Amino acid sequence: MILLISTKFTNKINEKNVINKFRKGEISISEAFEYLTNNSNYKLEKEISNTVIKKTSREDLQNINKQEKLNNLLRELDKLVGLEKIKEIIKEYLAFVKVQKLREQYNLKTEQVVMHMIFKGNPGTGKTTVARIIGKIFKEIGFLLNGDLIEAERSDLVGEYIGHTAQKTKKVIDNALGGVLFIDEAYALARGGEKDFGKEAIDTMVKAMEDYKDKIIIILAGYRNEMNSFLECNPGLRSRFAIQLDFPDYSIEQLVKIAEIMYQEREYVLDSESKHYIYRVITKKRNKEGLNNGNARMIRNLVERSIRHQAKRLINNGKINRDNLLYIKKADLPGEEVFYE
Amino acid sequence: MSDCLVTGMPNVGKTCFVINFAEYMGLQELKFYMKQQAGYTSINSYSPEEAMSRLVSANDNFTKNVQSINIEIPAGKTYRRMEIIDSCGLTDGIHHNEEIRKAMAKTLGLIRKSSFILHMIDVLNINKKGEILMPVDRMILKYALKEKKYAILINKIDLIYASNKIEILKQQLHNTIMIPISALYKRGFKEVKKLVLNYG
Repeated sequence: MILLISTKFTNKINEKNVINKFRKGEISISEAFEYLTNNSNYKLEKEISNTVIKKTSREDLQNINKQEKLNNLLRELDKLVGLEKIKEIIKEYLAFVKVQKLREQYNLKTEQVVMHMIFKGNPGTGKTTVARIIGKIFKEIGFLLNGDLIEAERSDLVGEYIGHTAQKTKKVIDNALGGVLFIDEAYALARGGEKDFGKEAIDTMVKAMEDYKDKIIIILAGYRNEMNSFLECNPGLRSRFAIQLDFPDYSIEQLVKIAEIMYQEREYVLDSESKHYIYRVITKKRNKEGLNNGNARMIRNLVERSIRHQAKRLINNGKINRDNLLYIKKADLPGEEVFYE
Repeated sequence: MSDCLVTGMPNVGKTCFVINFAEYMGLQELKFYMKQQAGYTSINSYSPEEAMSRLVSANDNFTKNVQSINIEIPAGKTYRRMEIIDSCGLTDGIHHNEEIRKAMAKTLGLIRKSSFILHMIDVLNINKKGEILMPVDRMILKYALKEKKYAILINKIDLIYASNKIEILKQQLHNTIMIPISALYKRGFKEVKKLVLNYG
């Protein structure tokens, strides 16, 4: 009798065990059912023979998950309009980091991986977007711990009195460890001349770059010309940033394509009349002001504004159906004033 | 209160059945009790239409939680209360998504615990010879037949007219109760009600 009760009890525990193993991905559903149905010494018999297989299957699962996430991120990168050269360089470095890891596994000599970068380009050319994707990609391949993007500018790094700057900069860097530190308008750090605390911020940063080579990616970003002269004044910096990416301005066609993609993501459709209207407005603006202004950021303003206008129009005229909710008409698009905000 | 677990492969119509059956039993407001991972149970109330649009989808493994509805079945002068439990669909092998694997483990746990199991099989997953095609379905059948009060609901009979193969299957499993239904169009619910009343 006691024996009977105790077998029942162990069976119950074993059943729970089996479900737990299934949850962890160590056994398949058929194995789980096999045990539940037979209630036999299945566990003891199988466990010994399957230990090796189970281990690999769990690792495989994790790898599949990672690969899936990485593929999604690469797809996200590919979806960005233009920037072909940048995409190519990022993929090149991705392969490089992967190969270095593999070489390490085979006990071969490895190159030092330093991923600090300089981004040069006008506002709205995709610098922050690319930085964010880079963070996530390098997290997936295990180079970064969390892949978060921390944005900082001069005022976050430079202090007000002697000694303050180093503290402030260090704090920002500590915060960004394991992810990407994106310093926008980095040339502003050298703006104040010799006596400015900006120099101290640069020095602290350079030291951190050496100390935490494989724990952080520091990206300095800013206008092309300003960044070039900034690097010329600080030759030490130029050699430390191996990767320099140039973000070209978008062509008018690319900007219209970006607008279309933005609408698509929000499940709106641009009719051909509105498309031509956007084309005309951008051309006019480019002719007037040159390339410095009016990149993808102004397109985002335009898209968001037009969506609000469409909503207002629909509520006012009350003609609500699927098509009306979907299409953005010319009347919804704001005039040129949106670009000056 | 007795309980009744609805189980089967993903996308056979488990949630759709639970919602429509509850509505068929006269419920105007469906209160879904969902066990959350943090340990508490949340209650979501829907009208039947709302529940159909929110909880039912054409995608696999849309239900990732165990959710249950309490219904009252008139039995003579009194009512019998019953908890109908909707669960995450089971698939073959090891699922790569951890969340779904966890949900499936919960379903397995429920299959072990529940006293009464309604096993839903897609009519398309039975071939002309009356054989159940999917390994998972065969495993559930094998396990539940041995241990539980058990019935098979053959769903989606609105899609194809398949009385032949259902008859053959019935002959093979002559001790098992088998009800052809259409969860979407509420066909065969009268028999299900009778069954639940007898078994529950």
